[in-house]
Amino acid sequence: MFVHRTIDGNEIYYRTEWVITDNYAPDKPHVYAPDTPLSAFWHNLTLEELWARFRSRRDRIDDVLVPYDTTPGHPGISDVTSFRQLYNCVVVAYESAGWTVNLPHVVVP
Amino acid sequence: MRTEAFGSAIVAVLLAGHGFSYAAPATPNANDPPLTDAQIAQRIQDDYRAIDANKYSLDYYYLTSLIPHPTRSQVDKYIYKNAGLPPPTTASNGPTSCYLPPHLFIRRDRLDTFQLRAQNVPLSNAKGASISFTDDLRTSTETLVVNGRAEYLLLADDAACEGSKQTAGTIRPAYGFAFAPFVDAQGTINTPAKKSDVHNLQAGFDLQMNILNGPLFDDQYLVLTPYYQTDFDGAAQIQGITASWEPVNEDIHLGGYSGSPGPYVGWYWQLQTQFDEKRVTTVGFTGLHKGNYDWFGGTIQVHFNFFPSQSASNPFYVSPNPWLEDRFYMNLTLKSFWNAANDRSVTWFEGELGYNLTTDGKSSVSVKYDLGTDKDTLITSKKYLLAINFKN
Repeated sequence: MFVHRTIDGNEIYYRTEWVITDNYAPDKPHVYAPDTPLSAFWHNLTLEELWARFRSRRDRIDDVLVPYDTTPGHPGISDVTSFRQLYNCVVVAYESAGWTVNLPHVVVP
Repeated sequence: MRTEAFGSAIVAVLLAGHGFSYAAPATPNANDPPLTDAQIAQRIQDDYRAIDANKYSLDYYYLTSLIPHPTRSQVDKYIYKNAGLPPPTTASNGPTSCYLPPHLFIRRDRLDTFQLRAQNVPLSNAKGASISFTDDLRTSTETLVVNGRAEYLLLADDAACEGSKQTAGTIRPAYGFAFAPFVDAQGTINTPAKKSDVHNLQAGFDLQMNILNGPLFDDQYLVLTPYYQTDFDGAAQIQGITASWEPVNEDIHLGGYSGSPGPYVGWYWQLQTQFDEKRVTTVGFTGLHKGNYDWFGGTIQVHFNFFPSQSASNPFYVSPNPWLEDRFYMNLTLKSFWNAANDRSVTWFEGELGYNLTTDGKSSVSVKYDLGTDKDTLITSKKYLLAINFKN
């Protein structure tokens, strides 16, 4: 059973950063530039540790499960080499769980 | 024949290697039809854009978290740096001209032109000019109802563009202006003529000033409009001038909104305060009296767009239900004015429920309910109306 809820892409950005850094600060500039490589993440996280952090913090990311292995149409953490790819994994995981992810804003009169 | 079979086998092997299963459809499928060459190229482009949507959004979030309102050259610098390329030299000095291209508006009234912001207004949100014609064979009467305004944006300087020329990090007021002549026709005309016939035809021009980052509101518009008013027969002679003020604050959906409207309803409201000085020398087919009118008041309008498309917030969005998204709308309008010359007040309400006939929003059909007194004609009405609307 899919839920139909909406989340802003920017909120996913901040939550993904929080999983890595333990610091949630949506009123501050983002910590990681999109092309930050995995090697530059805090705590020198391995891919397995990164995935474990997502699993242990599921209650703070709406019970969305980010997969470890990549399957067609569902990128997993095992292939992540940059923050951009990690963000994409989380966005697709949200969408797979029935969420609508809002993308950048423009003025709509 | 053998060559074709061999080629198909190679394609099947190659696609299988990429995790796809390949099989030519035995019969055309209405939901998944074979594509023409042009459609294949378009589909590939659309698919790449959809795949890249997350990529673009991440850059947007990161850049705007560092610089809330980056200039064009700052965006170029960021993107080109990420791509390992020097930024284009033409953009480094910012825009050289902020003049907007001329545009012809075909709308319901002045408020429906959305501050003459030609490039930012989705047509599906506009009400449009409406024409209704009734031929009553039983009573041998013909009725024509017209509510429309043609306005030509002849000259306009964009305030947001002027603001982008400022030094990065500074927020100072930026100014824009617009000059737009118009013809505005509102009224009902019967053949043979009835006592209830009332119509007005205005011609004039709008002088609009836009103040961005100014006091009170982030964005506001001041409009001065001298006009000449008559009726459809040219009998009335009325001269007037209006001064109006319209604020915009996207945070409270005033004059528009930012961001995705969600899957079910997008809404925003408009507020316009107005002073209208009118001198009537010949009454004609209006309900006005000879003399002066000093109207003070304003208009509040609320717009609802049901099942809005996400295309405004996602440029790569492909609608799964084009017959439903951006089609249904509702407008509620309340006008209230007080005439200082004789201490009379008038109120006018209109409710409208409509359906956009085309995906570009250029035509629609709607049901309207009008109740109250119009200050430009002083005729009281209470009626339902089915109308075809055109927009540009």
